[in-house]
Amino acid sequence: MKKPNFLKQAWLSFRRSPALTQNLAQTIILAFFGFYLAASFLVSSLVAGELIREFFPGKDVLGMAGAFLIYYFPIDILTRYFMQKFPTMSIKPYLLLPVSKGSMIHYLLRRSLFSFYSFLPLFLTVPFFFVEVLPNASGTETIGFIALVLGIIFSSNYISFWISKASDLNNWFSTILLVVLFTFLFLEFKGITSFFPSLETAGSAFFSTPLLWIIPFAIGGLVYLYLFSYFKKFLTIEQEAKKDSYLPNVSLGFFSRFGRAGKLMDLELRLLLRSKRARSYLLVSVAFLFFPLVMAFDEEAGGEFYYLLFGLFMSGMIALNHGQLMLSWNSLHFDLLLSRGNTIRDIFRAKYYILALSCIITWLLTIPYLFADPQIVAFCTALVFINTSFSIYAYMVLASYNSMRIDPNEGGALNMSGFGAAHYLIGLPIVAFPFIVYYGGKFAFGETGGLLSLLVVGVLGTIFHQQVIDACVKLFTTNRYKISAAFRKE
Amino acid sequence: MIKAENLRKAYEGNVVLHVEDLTINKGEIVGLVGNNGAGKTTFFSMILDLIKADSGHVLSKDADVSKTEDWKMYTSAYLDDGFLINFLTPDEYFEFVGGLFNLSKNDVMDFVKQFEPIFNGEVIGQKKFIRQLSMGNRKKVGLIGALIGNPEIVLWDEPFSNLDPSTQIRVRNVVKDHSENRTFLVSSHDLHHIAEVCTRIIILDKGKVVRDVQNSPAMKEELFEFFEVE
Repeated sequence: MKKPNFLKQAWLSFRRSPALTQNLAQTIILAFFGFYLAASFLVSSLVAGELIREFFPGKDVLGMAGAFLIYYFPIDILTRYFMQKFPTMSIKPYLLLPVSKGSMIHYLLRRSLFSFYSFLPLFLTVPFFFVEVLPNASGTETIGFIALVLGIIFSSNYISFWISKASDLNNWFSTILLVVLFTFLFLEFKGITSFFPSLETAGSAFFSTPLLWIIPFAIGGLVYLYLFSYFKKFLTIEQEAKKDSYLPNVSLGFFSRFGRAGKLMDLELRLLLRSKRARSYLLVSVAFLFFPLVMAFDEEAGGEFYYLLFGLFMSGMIALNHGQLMLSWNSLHFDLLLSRGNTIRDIFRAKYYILALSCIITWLLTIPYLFADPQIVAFCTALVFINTSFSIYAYMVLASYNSMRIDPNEGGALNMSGFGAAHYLIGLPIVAFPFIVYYGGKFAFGETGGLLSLLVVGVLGTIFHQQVIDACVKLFTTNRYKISAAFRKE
Repeated sequence: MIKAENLRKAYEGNVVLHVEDLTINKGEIVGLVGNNGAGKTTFFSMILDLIKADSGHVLSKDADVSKTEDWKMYTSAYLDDGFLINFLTPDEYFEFVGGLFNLSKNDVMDFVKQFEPIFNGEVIGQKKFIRQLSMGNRKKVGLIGALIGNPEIVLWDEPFSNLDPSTQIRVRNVVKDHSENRTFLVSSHDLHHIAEVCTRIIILDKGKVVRDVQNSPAMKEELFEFFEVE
């Protein structure tokens, strides 16, 4: 029996994926991002030895490098968890072929190892290896260093594979693990705990004791075996249906005052909670609220600049995140919305009101910052109406020109389907506009003039939302055949 | 009720639909038959203003469907899964559609429950999203969903495919039992069902109306003859 060439099939599915063939701009941006990351890793790796000598005088360079690597381990797991797309259900069409399930699962698990994120740590370590480790370290230590790097790549890949699999299945354990990792990193960076110095000894010990080298590989191997047995047991066609857990009906009676648009708002709310992609956007938005806790604002150096930026994002994070895909969220049932029981105006009203409402809610959530830094609340308050007007309007206009189909239940943090070049471009005016208003107002009316101008412009903009909705309806109506055809195209 | 005048659609030079003049009257049960590519779904989509006509127009109650939205309040359709909302349970979907017509949850569920023999215990009350249902059950949800809100015009594209034989007959009976004050447009490849239930049969071939007759026993023979293969 000849085995199908899985690698070739994977390559074809990548080559022929609509995202790659239809969206050059996005591929270029992603490639550029990857290139930038790799380049900055390379550079920091080259100078790492010097930096250690400068900032930790008298410490063993290799031991500190080991400490950094151990530190890097949880970061790597988290990065992979959020960014890497682990192959899972793409295996379904092959289930009927006469190939043993085991070899298919091995392939699936091994393939995940050959991702960009596995090469990223190499950029961070290979230059360091040649500059510092090879000339200075003993033979045992050299091998120990290689073992640690490869061990981290190997085990972090499978650990985050396992976390992402488990979190798909709403396993609480994975959530707890994520929270623990996050808290650990947070406490360390804030300087509340400091395990870091003691890790130097751990690093040195690891490099010089061959017996310890097994540990990372053993951890990775155990997780690999666990994943293997898990998939072996559950990788059947029915499994896919089981994955969807039922979520209770949510509906806000308050929406009924918006009439038919209120029914569509109810729908949007459920979409927000029940589709993977919308849910992960929501999580990112809520996480953003905690950003000031992590970041310390520097009043002296362009404090205003950061307050404006964070005020804009914090008071409108859900709208800015979720609103980008505006109509695309409904692409799978758009024919129903276009033909049954509601008008196009209802659709746009629902979209506007639910996004504007989300701005108000996120703004309310920023109020506790009064106790920490009243400036944050002041900026959020001035900016929330900019979000309920111009930010949302920008997305509404964009959506009435052009929208792309997405499957909201397709997860993956780097899932860029539905985004076109216009989405990247529109970010610029959305961010630039409040800056222009603020600095314009400050220049004309003095210190508080900036915040007041934002508030006045935002409120005025919000008052005219009906007119903007009407304009978007008109624009959409002329483009509706093109947009709905794009939604139908898989 | 519905009038298509000089309606034409072509893709890259291939004419997929060209209906010169067709009037569908109130209360008719129209069966639309034709082989693959005859233009049935295209015709339905144009009645629903989902695709743009190259020329001509569809009038619904004398108003051009591409210029007004009034028809959306009395027209319903189930052409494919694009008319289902896959992250809702069937009950929630029915409730959502009913809600657009100001029907309460209870009204909607009372209405839907009369179709329980069709659903066969696998749809109503299930805590399963529509995306998790089988193809047949999804079709059932779509077909019955299209009857909620007392629509005057109902468009069903291939309602019998993917259904088991008994359900096909039940669905056929639904058409019969719910045709009062209602215009049905049903497309199908199943000539028996069409001949059984429709009052008027239109045969489309390569985008053109080639037969348009009131149903009669004689018509049935003609219908089968038309699709006979040498």
